[in-house]
Amino acid sequence: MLNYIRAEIYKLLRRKYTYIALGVMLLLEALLVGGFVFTNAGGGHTGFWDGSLLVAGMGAVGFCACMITGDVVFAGQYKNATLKNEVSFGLSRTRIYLGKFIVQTLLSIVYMVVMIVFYVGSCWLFLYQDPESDLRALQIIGYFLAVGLPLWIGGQAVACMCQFLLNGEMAASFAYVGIVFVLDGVLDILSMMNYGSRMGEVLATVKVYLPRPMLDMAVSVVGDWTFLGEAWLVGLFWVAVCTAIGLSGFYKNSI
Amino acid sequence: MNENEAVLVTYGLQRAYGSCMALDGASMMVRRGDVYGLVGRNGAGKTTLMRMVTGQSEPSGGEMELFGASGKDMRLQRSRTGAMIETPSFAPFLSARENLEYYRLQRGIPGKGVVDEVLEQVDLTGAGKKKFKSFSLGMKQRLGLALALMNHPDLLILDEPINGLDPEGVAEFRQILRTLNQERQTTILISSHILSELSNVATRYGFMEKGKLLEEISAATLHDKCRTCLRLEVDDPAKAAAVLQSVLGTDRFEVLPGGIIQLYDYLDDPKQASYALTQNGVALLAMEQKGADLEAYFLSLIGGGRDA
Repeated sequence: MLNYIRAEIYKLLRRKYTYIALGVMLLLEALLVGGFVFTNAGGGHTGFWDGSLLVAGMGAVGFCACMITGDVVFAGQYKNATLKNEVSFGLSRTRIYLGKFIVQTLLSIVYMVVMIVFYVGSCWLFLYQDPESDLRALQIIGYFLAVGLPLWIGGQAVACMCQFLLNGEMAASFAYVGIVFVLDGVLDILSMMNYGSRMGEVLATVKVYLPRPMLDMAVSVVGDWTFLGEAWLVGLFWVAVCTAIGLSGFYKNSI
Repeated sequence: MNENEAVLVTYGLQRAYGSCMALDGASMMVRRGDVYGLVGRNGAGKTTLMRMVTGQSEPSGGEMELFGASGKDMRLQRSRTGAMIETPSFAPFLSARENLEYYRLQRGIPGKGVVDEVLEQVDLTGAGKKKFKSFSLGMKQRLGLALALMNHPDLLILDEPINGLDPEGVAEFRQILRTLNQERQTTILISSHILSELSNVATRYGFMEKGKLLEEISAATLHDKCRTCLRLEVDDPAKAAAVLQSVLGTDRFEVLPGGIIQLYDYLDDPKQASYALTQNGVALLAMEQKGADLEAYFLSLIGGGRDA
């Protein structure tokens, strides 16, 4: 497995996509901070508290990033038919699947660290500071990230599953968006249609344990360690379920 | 490992795609040291068979053994093989050297030098830094072969490997295969539509048609079957044989059922043979010069057809 991961990292480091994706995200962050600085110059008063706390309101960006990091690692595998080189050498499909998922997750974490450090660091450098409220902002961000990390890894598992199951990057992206961004809305509607019934309750409960809606609740329960534990359980549950489905499908696929 | 050891055996291998049987009970045996030429027209099942041997798709029925291992144990034996099935596939944004280095790391093959070694072997040293996306088809084929050779395989599986190669490339490729087979004792399973080229390297053939293996035959036996001869149809084969021996002084002939004699002498002077027979009381009912090559043999086997 270590050989496989080393090889994937070797390839990633030589792929322009890796750097372009990160560069674009950093540029957007820079534009945001630049906007705050610009409005401050015109009389605005955006401080570190306001700017940095935007991180805690942008959980969805993390889920979008999962799709991008998944694509950076996996893009072209079916289109260029390179998986056949791996299978025909006798590498097990489990190793191929888990190897790619681990590298996708590592890349996500690297992206996350770089983006958070860049954004929060920029806010610290260029926006007004207030030691008391700034410390509180860092605590909220820390809690949000601790909740977000397992849920984003769950999202990464969804992305990986879609990529292995669907022979086409566009189809995989649509499926990912459907599961992560649309499914909770569908469950909402269905639970409202079944309001008052057992089915309605079940659907509403399922919706709460989807990764993205769960992360959206994090800001309102800062410091709740039970919620943090639940987030880790939910994240790991999504990793386990998606990996099981993705792997069994990958074993059945002809390459 | 002894000379006659089976490297790859398939027993009634089947693969269905919906109602279409791409492989319909194909049984074959590749022995150690063989250069096994798989011959068949488009859609005969050659690539499907190779894809199953390399684990790219699963059989619907039948069994396989690779180096004596079957079922799930077969996967581990695949690390002793090198394969190039259909078009060579690599990451387009990496150079030839980077692509090979990626697979070297992934497969845990020790020694960075092995990449340069195989690039040199397939004559791609000068193109090592060129991105795969800008390769010609011939260069892609060479890189595919380089990857297949990188782990010094005991069994090399090549599907249409000379597609896109120029004449010089074909000759080099033939030499590489000969060297591997003769010096490293690499067993080779190869399919090609260019039967004249296949006949230059193969030591054994398997003929496929409609998902079945029609016949397996050694190159020597095929050569015998395809030898040019005078095919004589006579009323009394015993008497004719005696005349050929006593009057023409040759024993280079075969007596076949149905009053047929295949004479391998007097090809330049058939008149002398017919004269000797008729003068000695043998009625010569028909006489023709007959010979065949791999293509003609294959076409006769499948009863004619479009392309091989």
